[in-house]
Amino acid sequence: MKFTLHIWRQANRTAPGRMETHAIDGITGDMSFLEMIDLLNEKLLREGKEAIAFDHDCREGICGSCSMMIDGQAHGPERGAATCQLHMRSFADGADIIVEPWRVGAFPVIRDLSVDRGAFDRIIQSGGYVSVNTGGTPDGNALPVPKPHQERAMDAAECIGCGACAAACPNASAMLFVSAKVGHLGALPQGQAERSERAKNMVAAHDREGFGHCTFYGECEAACPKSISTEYITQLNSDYLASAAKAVVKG
Amino acid sequence: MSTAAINPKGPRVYPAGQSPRAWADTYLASTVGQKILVGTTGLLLVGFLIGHMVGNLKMFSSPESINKYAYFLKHDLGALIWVARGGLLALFVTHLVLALRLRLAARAARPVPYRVMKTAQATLQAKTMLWTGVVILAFTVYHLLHFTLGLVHPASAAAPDDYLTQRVNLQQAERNLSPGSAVNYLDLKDDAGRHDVYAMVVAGFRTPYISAIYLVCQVLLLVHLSHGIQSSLQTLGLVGKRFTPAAVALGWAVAGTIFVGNVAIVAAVWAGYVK
Amino acid sequence: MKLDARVPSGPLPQKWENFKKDQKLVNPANKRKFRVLVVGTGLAGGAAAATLAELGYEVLAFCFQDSPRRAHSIAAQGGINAAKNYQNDGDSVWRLFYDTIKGGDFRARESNVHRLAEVSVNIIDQCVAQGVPFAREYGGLLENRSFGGAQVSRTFYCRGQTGQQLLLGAYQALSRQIHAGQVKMFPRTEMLDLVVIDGRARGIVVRHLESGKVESFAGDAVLLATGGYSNLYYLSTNAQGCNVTATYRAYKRGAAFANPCYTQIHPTCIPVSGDHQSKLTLMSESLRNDGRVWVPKDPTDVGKHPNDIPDANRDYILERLYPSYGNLAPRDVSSRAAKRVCDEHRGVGPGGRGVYLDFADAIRRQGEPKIRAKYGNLFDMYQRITAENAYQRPMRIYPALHYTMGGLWVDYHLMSNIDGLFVLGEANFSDHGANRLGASALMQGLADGYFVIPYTLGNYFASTKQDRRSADASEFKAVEAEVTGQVKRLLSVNGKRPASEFHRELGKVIWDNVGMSRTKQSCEAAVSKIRGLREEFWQTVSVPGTADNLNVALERAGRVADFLEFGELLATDALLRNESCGGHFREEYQYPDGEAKRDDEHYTHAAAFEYQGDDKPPTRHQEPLNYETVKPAVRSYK
Repeated sequence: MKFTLHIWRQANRTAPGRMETHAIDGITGDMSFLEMIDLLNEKLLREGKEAIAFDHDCREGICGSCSMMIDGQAHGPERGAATCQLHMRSFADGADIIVEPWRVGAFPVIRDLSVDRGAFDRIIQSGGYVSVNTGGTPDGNALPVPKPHQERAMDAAECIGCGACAAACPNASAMLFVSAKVGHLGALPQGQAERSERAKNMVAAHDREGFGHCTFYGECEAACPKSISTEYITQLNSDYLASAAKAVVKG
Repeated sequence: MSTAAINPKGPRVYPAGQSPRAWADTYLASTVGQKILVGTTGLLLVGFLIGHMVGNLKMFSSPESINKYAYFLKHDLGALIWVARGGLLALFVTHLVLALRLRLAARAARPVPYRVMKTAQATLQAKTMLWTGVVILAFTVYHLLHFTLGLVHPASAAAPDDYLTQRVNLQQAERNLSPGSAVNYLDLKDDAGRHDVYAMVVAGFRTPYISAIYLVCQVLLLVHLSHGIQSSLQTLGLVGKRFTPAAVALGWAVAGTIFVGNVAIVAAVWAGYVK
Repeated sequence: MKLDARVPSGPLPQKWENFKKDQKLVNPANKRKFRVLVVGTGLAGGAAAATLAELGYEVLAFCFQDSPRRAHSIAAQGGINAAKNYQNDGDSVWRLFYDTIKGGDFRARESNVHRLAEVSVNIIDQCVAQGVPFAREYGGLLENRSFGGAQVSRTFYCRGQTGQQLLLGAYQALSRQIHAGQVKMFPRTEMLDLVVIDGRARGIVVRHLESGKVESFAGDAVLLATGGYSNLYYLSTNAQGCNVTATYRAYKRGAAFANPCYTQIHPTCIPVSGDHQSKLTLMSESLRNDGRVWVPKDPTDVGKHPNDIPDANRDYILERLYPSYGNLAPRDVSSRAAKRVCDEHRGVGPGGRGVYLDFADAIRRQGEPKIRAKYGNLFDMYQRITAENAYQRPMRIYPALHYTMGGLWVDYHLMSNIDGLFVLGEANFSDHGANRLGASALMQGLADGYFVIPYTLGNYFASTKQDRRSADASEFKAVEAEVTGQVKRLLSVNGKRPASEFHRELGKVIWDNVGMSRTKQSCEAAVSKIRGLREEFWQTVSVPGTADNLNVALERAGRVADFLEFGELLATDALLRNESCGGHFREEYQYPDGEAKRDDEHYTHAAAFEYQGDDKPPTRHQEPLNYETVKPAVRSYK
């Protein structure tokens, strides 16, 4: 197979970027999208040109490093898959493919397709945890967790923090990311003590980073490599209201 | 040596961050808080729309019925009507201002746009909320100018010998106007001397382009509400995954009911069923 | 070089207790005066950084990824072992200890392994308290599954993403400490050297990957939790960024590297489909709970559709060879069985390198929904990669490099032979001997990070005079200059070949010669081929661009350069270990039935290599492994 790739190149955070066009040949359907970029990079290096910077690591859809907007869709056309899990058999031979970095103000472009997702780390730091120190914890079976609750927690905990939700959202909102963590911990008995504070603090951190608001377009859910449902955003809103009400009543 | 107390007694002091102001700054100023306000005001406005539509259905009953209802609202309620109007205005302004503010912030959240951006499951209704909202705003202004202030279009007697013609003729006679000249909507009176809302509505919707404006705007309202209602329910954290389809259905049902009720009046005038 | 394991006295089950009893403690008010540098933020590093910060130490944490949440621990699928005996099926700390020692083919240090088994139970409690959503029974209690090399169900899991959930637990604990200001986090920062002054580890030199700036950090102790070196093989289940640089550079500064030849081949990976492939994807070992491994009995059946081969013509290899463990035989044993039948031309799929993992019986017995619930994500992953539906036809699997048991030598305290340099998790050599059992890597990483290092590091601080150097000291500047020199050297080669090409070739040399099986000749061949490749690399590698910004080609080239040296060390170790044990299979040393033949008389020791200079062979030291409690036996799973 052969393709014409239009790829965003940008030297650093402040430099203006531009689209660069590369023709690539000798691609097979079994290759992943990133393996195709590898091939292109090897070609560039042989020509003494700089390789295209992009984030990638595990290449099996779990580390959340890869982050490409492919033909206007976060992680490309395949539902429930990260860019690394996208195989070239999903594209028509000879196609033109446009590759851009995540475009969200809170994720500044570092170089080419690589963006800084430190905003997500800071959101977690604002309260995406259960405040327990190591040691002194009760036996794992001390608190039974109903299986449906555990499943609900797990569905949200699967979030890989790739940022596709914000990248795909017309409002550049990262509410799915926030709600996945709030939903994960809120579904478990261990997360109850800080449930209200967590919702409040994580939403505040989300806003501080400059993400937009949620209007339930559902684009995040479609882009999410783990298909996390927008129901968690509903849950987050409900926790948030409860938090606000609690703050009124209890100060 | 000073004799002042180190911690003098005085008015109650609130710990920092525990004042109502701090609460509002935290909860109401956040994207979620603002969105909840947009959703809440939206749902309240939907409540108004339902009441408005149900009241207007008295058109199908009799001129007496709707004119009496209008008289009740305008005169019997006294100052309360102004409270209601003020409330409505506040809801409308809050809804609009916050929605616009959020939208502007969202635009700022993506300073560099994509060359290509496709959507996968966002509905047309969701994507056009801002534009349908803006048109509904313009329509609301027009609607007020039209029926509340009577500034847009006067009534004239077109079809001979029906209720409207009688009312118009009556006014022409009373005001010594030449036959065929137009009469302001607000001057139409029924036999009891009340403002004749029934005649006004018939006069309004007999004009083709006015009906067309109303019909188009009702379609846009339907589109706006079909996303707005279910999105508000989700924003308020009321429905989860299992009931999302139910919320969508409810949204369509409510929006559809309002649409059908309102359009029925226009259609009935056009069809000559209401005359 | 002295290799003193500093194992506490007393009978095996009391050693850890005795250590805790005798250890010295740091006063809470003094803890903040100690600065700990933690390199790597996976299970071991993340857990250590968070826990040490909770205790009050000043922690600086470094990772080359863009976030600590992306460390490769995240990719572990199957589960984590713990001797909880929740299933009432005869498990105990002793049994977990024994299974691990036996699984490691009697090449691990008893005392470390016993401690690992002891603290395993605390790990589960800790993770549950953090909100790790472990699988539950309907009654709300924790669920377990079976894993290779054990006859009890002691593996705790979160669907097929246990590593992810455990790492997120550690990451969240770490995030909490970052928020509290106790940890300063440096993402996109790669450690490129260790600074040793007067025999003590004083700090590290790093390169900030975005700005290209080379900077030194001084501390009172350096913790390396930088993972394994499977990527030496080019094709492995490891993430692209996994590398040996941190541990290898520490080795070049005097830290002993132990048992580099102990590498683990995981039997259930998706087979290679072509030359373009950049990595191999693992299918969790848990699949072997329900899947049956087979190949056609007759090589002429190989091309047939698997569903057209009747049961009578199938060879269920693991069930036939190891009836008592069956499809749950340990990884090394299962991998070699697969290799053997493929060498007999009975392998299936492209290139004849694959065996079937068949779920037809399990689906018949339990129904498809149940199988889907257990393994749905793995079946989806398989289909996405191979475009085959494993509910309808058997999966094809083949062994791939997965884990490295070798690593920097550490004593019982997890300290290397350099004072103040501690090594945790996969980066050290201590707990798995010559082969690791499934679901034990997560256990070891978290044990080291949460429950071992907080004790042993405190003991080190309390028993050593604090003597922190400044990062401006001349010794730091000298190492910085060396690091900068290496970066410049890479940029100035101006060749035409990408580093990835060398990496691929190196991987092939290593896999063919020091892979699933090795011989004296193959190890020697590997050494000489690697040398040639290394020379070529420094003449023809292409690294365009500059050192003052994000330069992905430069990062890659630096890592490949280290692999090109380290590969030789691995092959040398494999050459010098004249026995077969665990993942190290020397063809010269086997029983007539093809099983590995150990030489306990001469090789019951850890081989620790000491760097002597670029042109000199390393010195091989031995740490004898004294089996006081367990009697090494022929490892049989029959």
